[in-house]
Amino acid sequence: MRAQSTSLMVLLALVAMGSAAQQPATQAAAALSHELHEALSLAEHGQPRQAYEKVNEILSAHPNYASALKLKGMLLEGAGRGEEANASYAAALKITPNDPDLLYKVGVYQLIKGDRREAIQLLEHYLKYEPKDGDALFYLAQAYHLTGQNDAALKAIKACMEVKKDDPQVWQKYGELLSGTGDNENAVVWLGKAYKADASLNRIQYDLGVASFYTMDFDGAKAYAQKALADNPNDRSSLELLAAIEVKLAEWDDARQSYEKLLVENAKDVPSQLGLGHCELELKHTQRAIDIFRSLLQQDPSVALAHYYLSRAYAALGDSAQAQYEAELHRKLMDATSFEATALGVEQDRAAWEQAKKLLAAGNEDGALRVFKESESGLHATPGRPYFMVGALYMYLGEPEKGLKYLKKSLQLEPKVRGAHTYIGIYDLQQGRLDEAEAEFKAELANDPNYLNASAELGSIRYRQKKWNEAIELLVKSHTRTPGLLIELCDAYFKTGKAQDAKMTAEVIMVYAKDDQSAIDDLLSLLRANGQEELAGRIAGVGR
Amino acid sequence: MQRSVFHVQEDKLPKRPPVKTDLRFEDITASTGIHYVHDSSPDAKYIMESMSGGLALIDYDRDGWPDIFFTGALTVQEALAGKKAQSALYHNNHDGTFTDVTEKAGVANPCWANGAVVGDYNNDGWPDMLVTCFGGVVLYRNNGDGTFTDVTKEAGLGGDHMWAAGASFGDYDGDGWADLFVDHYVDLNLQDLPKFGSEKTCKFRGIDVQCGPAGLPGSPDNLYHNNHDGTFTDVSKQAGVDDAQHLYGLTAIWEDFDNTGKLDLFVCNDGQPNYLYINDGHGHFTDQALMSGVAADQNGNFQANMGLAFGDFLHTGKMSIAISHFSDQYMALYQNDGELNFSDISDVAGITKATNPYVGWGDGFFDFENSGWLDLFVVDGHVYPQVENDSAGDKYKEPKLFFVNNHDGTFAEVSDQVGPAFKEMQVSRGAVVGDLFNDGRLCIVVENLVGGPMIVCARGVKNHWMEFELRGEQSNRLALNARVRVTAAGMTQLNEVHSGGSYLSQHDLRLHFGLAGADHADKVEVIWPNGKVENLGALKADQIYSVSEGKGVVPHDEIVPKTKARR
Repeated sequence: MRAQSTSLMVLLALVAMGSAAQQPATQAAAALSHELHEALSLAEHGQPRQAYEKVNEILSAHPNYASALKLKGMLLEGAGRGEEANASYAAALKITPNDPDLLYKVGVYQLIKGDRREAIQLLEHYLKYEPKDGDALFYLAQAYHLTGQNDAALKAIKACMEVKKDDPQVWQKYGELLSGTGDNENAVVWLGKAYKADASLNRIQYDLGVASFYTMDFDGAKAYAQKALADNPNDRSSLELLAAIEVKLAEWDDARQSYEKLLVENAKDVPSQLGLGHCELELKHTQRAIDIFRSLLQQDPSVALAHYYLSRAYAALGDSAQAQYEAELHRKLMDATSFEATALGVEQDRAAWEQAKKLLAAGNEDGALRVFKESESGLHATPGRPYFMVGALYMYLGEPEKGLKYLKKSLQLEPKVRGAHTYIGIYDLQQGRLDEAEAEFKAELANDPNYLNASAELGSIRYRQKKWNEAIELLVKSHTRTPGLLIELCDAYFKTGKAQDAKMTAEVIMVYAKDDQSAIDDLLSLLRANGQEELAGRIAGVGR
Repeated sequence: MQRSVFHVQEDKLPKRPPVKTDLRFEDITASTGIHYVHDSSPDAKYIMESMSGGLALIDYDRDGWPDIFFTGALTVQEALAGKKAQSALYHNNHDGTFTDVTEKAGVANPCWANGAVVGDYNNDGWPDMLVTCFGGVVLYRNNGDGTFTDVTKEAGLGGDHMWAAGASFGDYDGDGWADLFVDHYVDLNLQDLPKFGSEKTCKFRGIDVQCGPAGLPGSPDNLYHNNHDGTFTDVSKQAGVDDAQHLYGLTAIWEDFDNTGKLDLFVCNDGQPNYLYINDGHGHFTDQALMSGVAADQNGNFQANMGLAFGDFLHTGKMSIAISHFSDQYMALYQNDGELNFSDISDVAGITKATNPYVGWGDGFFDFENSGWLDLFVVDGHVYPQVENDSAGDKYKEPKLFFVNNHDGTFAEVSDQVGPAFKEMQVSRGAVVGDLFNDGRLCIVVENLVGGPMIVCARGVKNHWMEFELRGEQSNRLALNARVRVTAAGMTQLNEVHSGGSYLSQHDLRLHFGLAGADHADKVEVIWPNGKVENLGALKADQIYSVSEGKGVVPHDEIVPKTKARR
């Protein structure tokens, strides 16, 4: 952040400009401006409390007087009351939305507060007025970085480096951002340069440790992490880094101690529990490892890796049945994750989807069609696809009549367009028209036997028809993650006497439905109805 | 003055001195007379245009000198136009050159080939060859007269029309006849191919690329039991290795991982968990890969699993595994800890950093320095030509990597020391190793997806060595999965005859041992596939020994079949 004295000078100038800009046309306005200058004068002469009282007095009579709000913000900032200062600056910015100093102040504060998108908007706006402001570029780079816009972040920090050519802090940030984009080799170079120029830079050892870790220079990374911890023994991220490095170096006892330290502070920390269990496993403390993983899964059943380690632990104990069970569970969870991308009915660019959604909400169907046509350019553009997308979007928005119109149009234009039959079928299913739905799903699968959503929905129909084996086959093939469908699969397994598969499916449901209490309740009923009290009890206790 | 962290590193960290090696690889490709060029698509818009390139070393005429078979592929456009893929067989002239005998041998057009492995399915002593194809397999019976006959249909293998990738011969039931495992990759129809760049799974770092394998259906695998009459019976389902999950199978190999005397089976699956099928001795297998620690990397992630290297690199008497992977997935080294327990020691072994940037394929554990310790190499080449346009700086052509064994469980990457051939950028796929010129200096033959092959041979190696060519009598004739244990200068080494390996390829079936300074081995033992141990006693170094089961070391003529091939 800029120094307060600089801030004060800028603000004073801006307040003066602001009052001039408002051009009080009346005598009353001139008097108001005079009052503000009195407050300013008090502030300049080391009487901030009196200045604050004065400015509050002004604002009580003129709450929308932007210059007074700015001055109040400055006084609050000077008193170390950042949040209130920002509120005052933000109120001023609402009245004078193009005020560069306010844009900067509020932008930086939003970044600190964690509202990164707002920060980006404000800092970008500010930089239109002050394109060479190195501080603003620095903060903008950080905001981009924190929102995952790494290319934009790098661009901003490079612009910052043009202005602040010899600033080690900027080199450090550049190195950190390079590391964030995966260019760790260059990150190490820039971080090293920053370190040589200023060894006291905040977290430079940690940054170097991270970049070295990702260049797989584990010995170097360890030295940096240890140094970072020596400088700041309570720094959790440095300890996490050190633990990860020790695992890479197979220094299991050291890693175990690091994870134990991390867990002293936060006994529920998932990565640390996982790491500790891994160390115990490698140290052949098998039962201890099992206890840790079991406890972890009871806290968070979605940690697939815990099942992997459990499998290895049970194998080490010679319990091959349990080892196989855990291995299969891990595989199922990983498998479902890898199919996540393809399992979506609409695999479309999210940006196009969002844009078209707005256009449809505004009644602009042609615009939405155009968006999808443009997003589907090149080799894979097909005539029916944009119409399918609009239809799918309407169905998503709960407007089935319009949706069906577009889905049918897509099929007219392109009889094999992917997904249209499935969407129509799902609607039929919702209306209780099982036969029609089945025909649609079959039509989809005739075009593309691997269309996962159609497999899932047809599997659900087979379930309702009590054709258990066919239901199982289709639901498994679909790789569905939908709790309702998985519960049908679980039940179908029970119905066909495949209790082991049913139990495993129940554990998968526990992961995907962890925030869906209604699905969990259905699952618990199903398990209890099939005599699986132990598993039901375990699932009921998850997260408690 | 505050000390910089760089000083901390220099002073306090136990830095290994840079490893120096006298080993050099000489690129002899130009002088071999081999002019084979692998057909490839410049754009590789379809996955089958990226996955071929396996090759085999096969001494098809049993003259004691390895010959080379290169598999030939097509582009989709060529296949749709009805063009036939051209494979090639080169005969070793014993003078550093090779002669193209493809047409005469009758192996020019097996299919759109992906890989090749060697086995003697009819136990006549003549090595036969199985070619895996985009559309099934082709079994070539070696006629013993320099020619091969396609016996796919009569052997009962003609029903396979899937995309066959990995294969391996091995006698899993111990009846003395080599059975056959074939795995399959993606289920695709040339007439209905997924369009380039059309889905999320057809993008790489935001750029349009070929689709798959993720998002595409896989195909099941086959285990064929040898009926002892020139035919096979498909026993995949009853054996439990049919791959009901239809994972994307690539390289496969038979190996007795748990030292029970029964062959187990390892199958690489691309982007999915590998299979480690453990043989129960009654014709059934159970996959124990995940619980054994070889299905996934150390973080439980499934990697690309393409090339497979086996070796006892630490002299523990157990075969460890190295698997090559995609870029941003380090080459995984799974140390065999015994009792079906493997540890991913890639980081500690020092191979992750060098391998992480590249897409790895053919690989192998071989003692190129003849030091008595197995080194490790991998050849690389990206899948997508389009990476040349991405912002990450990836290249389609990539270098090869060579790691020397530090004798302590770690390796040192010395690719830049072993000659310019390893730095030459190519789009490599299969890579096989053998003593091409019977001088104890190993060579690597690389089949590149784009352009001609590369052959490099070890130079600057002064250490002693010995090699073994085995003939089974009660065991399968090529002695597949027989092991040889050599003790010299107080160190015992282990090696094993494998059908298949590397990436969809076949190394020389002869076993090579480096002996460092020892001019003889104090003790040599052969553990035949049936478990019988044959002690060959002490043997002089720098020779290739022919060993016949139950008869010990014999003249080479005695292990060569006297008759033409069995029909």
